[in-house]
Parts: sequence; C-alpha cells; structure tokens
Amino acid sequence: MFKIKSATLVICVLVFFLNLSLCDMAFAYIDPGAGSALFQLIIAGLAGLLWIVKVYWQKIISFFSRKKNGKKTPPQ
Amino acid sequence: MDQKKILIAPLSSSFRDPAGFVFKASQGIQRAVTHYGRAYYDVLMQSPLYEELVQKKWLVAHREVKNEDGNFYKILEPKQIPVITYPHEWSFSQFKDAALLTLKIQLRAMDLGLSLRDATPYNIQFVGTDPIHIDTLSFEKLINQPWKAYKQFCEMFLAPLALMSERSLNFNKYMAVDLNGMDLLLSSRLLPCLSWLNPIYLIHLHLHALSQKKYADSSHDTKNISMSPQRLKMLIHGLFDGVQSIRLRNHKTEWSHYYESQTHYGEDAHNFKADQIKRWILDIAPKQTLDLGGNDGKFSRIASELGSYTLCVDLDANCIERNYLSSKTNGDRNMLPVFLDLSKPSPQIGWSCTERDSFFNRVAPDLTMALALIHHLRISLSVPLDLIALFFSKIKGYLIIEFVPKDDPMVQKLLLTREDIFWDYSEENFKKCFGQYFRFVEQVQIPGTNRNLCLLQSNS
Repeated sequence: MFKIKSATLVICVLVFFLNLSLCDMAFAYIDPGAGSALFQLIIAGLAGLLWIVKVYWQKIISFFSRKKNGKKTPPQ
Repeated sequence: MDQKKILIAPLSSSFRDPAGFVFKASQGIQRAVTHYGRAYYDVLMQSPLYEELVQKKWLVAHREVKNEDGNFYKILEPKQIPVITYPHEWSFSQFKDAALLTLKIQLRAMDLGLSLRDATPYNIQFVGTDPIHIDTLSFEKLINQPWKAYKQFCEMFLAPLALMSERSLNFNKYMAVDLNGMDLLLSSRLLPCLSWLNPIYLIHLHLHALSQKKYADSSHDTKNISMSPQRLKMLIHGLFDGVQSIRLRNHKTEWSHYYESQTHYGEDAHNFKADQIKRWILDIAPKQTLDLGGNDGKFSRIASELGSYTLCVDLDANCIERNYLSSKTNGDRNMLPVFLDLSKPSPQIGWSCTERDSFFNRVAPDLTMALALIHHLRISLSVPLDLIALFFSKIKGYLIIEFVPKDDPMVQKLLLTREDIFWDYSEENFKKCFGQYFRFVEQVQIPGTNRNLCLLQSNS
C-alpha cells in the first residue's frame, strides 16, 4: 500500500515538473496570481484523477462492506 | 463614480471591493451595494443559491432596506453578528471549519453556475460555534476559468492550517502579522520534509509555491486562461477532501487539563465558587459575558447556559480547541471560544492601523469575569496592580474577580522561581486600586482557601 502511495507521489512530482516546463509560454503582464492560475491548469487533471480514484475506491469498499454485512444479516 | 456620492462612512475594514461596503447605521451594521456591485448582488439573488445557503445557515441572511439617498443600488441589513473575531483568534478546529465552509459554499455555488470571487477567513464569522459566511457580494457568475480565489484560499486557509497541524497549534497568531495570509514559499520551507509525502501539502502548498516562484517574474496574461468548470470542480473536491484530512497532532500544554489535574482546590470550594457565580449571573442577567483566562470554559459555561452570549478567552490554544469542540458537541450556541494572550491582545492592524479593530473595541460585555487570573497578571506578567485595575476599568459593566492572595499555594508556586518584588500585591491594595473605578457590590471567601470572590460594578 505504501509502495503504491509513494509511486503515485513520484508520478505526481514528475508530471508537475513536466507540465511546468511545457507551460513556459510568453504572455503580457505580471500578475501576482499568475503562478496560481497557471498552476490550477497544471494540477486540475492530476487532482481530478486522484479524486476520481478516491471516489471509485470508496464505492468498491462500500460495495464489498455491504456485501459482507449482507452475509452476516440473516434474511427476514 | 459612486465614491464621490458616498455620504455614509464605510467601516475602516471595508474599502477593497468597489462592489460595496459595510457601514454602521443606527440599526446596526448595514451593507451598501454600489452600482458597480449590482451584477454581483443580482447574480446571487436571482439564483436559488441565496435561499439555500441562508436556510443551511451558511450565509448571513439580509433584508433590503430603504435606499434613502438613492446613491447606491441597494442597502442591505444583514442579520447581526454578535461579536466579530479574526482568524488569528481561532482554534485549529474553528479555522478548519471556516475553511471547509468556504469550500462547501464554493462547491454548491458551482453546481448552480456561480463561484466565490474571494476566499478569505475574514468573510467567515462565528455565531457561537457555528461558522457563517458574511459577505453577500462574494459571488459571481461561473466562467470557464481557474478559480480566482485559489491562491487566496491556499495562503489564508490551507497554509495556516498545515502549519498549525504540523508545527504549532497556535501558528495562526502570525496571521495578525500579515493580513494576506502565509506566504506559500515561506510555508513550504517551514513545513517538515515529510509533508512532501502528503498529497494535499505536496500539490497545493509545495508545488504551488514552486509554481508561484517560477512565474513571479514572468509576464503572463492569465485573464483569458480557459478551464472547464468540471475540471475546476474536481480540483475543489480534492482540496475539500485534503482539508478535511488535516488532523491535529496531540499537543498537551500546561493548561490543557488544568481543572482535572488541580490539587489546590477542593471539590467543595469549586462547587461553592460555581454556585456563587451562578447566583450573581442570574441577578445581573448579562447579554454578553467576557471570561478572561477562561481556560476550557468550565466557568464560562455557567453564563452561556444561562443564555448570555459568552466569550471564553484564553492564551492556551489547546484549551480553546477543547472548549470549541465540546461546546459544538453539546450544542452550546452561546459559547464563542477566543484565542488571545492578554499580555498582547489583538491590536488595530492593517491599512492605516485601522483596517482590523483591536479585540477590546469589538466586545461590549455587561459582565467580565477574571477568575484566578490576577496573580498571573501581577506576577507572571509583572503588571502592577494599579495598571491592572486601569485595564479592567475600560471594560464597562460588572466584574467578577477572584483575588488570590500571596500565601495561596498557586502564588507560592509562581514565586518559587523568582524574587518577590511584588510589594504592591496585597488584598488591601487590590481593594484600593479597584476601588478607584469600581464599587464593591459583594465579596465572599471561597471555603478552604484564602481567596476572595468579588462582584464589582463599574462607576461609569
């Protein structure tokens, strides 16, 4: 489990730096929030992916826990 | 344009947003919506979001009142907030609840095609233990762009929360130094190395800080960046889950289990003190009570349970945290725990030193309590008795104060490590100093101790 988590984090960091290098385009004006706005573009996919994985993982867990609980409870 | 016509004075904290401002009217605090702010106000009011948020008690309710001079689009009278507190006066869980409420509102707003255009903790206030958003003009139409308030959220909510969790429970006190929140690069450096392994800190603090550093000196026009609401929503969901997962480490302090571990007080003395305070509170029937040095709210609760809106103030963030959590669990809607060090209470700060008011300008108690506090002020903080009396004289109404004499075991404990240079600290001088500003209504000795519990009434 720890290995999977670590691997995900390593991928996150690699994807981030790859994206950072690809986003080096020329624009017009210095904005204090420029880094944050561009950063959202970079991480949105990543954060979204993590969130989807989490949602489906919870669904799988709840499916099996329901099934398990269902076996324990005798039918009325 | 609107600025030239303004006849009513905005509060000193309300000048950044041209969409409107708050001001003090005879009926209480009101909000003016400027003609520029019309779009922001209408987008909220024409959406079902306003009704839903008000019903959930996530957003302050308001009514439109007569716009007499017609200089503004609308004048709103919001439901009044009893006492304004600032993020540097909150406990960890108060801070976390404020952050989660902001994200919950943003997620619900996005469902209905709106978005928050700022995400500052100053927009969240506590009514007892319930956080509520107080800025009606914070909403705008959702467009295909990144969240404008993302940076602000990370600097003003996420970074302080991370540092409170990972470094020090009272780290939020530094929010009083910088009203714009914690700089992300500084926060990233202050967080422990292991925090790089936590996805929420990794993405939204460490990598975000690097991104800010990278683009700080570049010239990027970010006004027209496109980002789909679906992608943004997933990002906010991730942020919400991340904030929810931030936990408090086990911080134990000298004061955190004070009443459980006390050996200087018998149960009878304790009960006597509680009963006497209850009798006085029933007589005074204070609307607002201020309990200074209130620890985890043991005695404050007497006032809050009797219907007085009670501020329990303490310098120990752990006690404030415990009080907040227990009051929340018990549904005590009259209790507002406040993290404050009396040796350096929140001053006036921000623009022109008036943007954010001092703590004592924001409270108006009918009753102040200072139980087993005076010896700490005199001996631990070295404040002479006459200056302590002068300080209390500025808070009007009644004062319940416990005088702890020099022969008390707790005072002796304080004197163990220092020379006794506190010659003015006597009951006689206490009465003389406080007698300048107060009338002694009643005083009783706590059984089994030499301590005196006194009820005083302000002369002015």
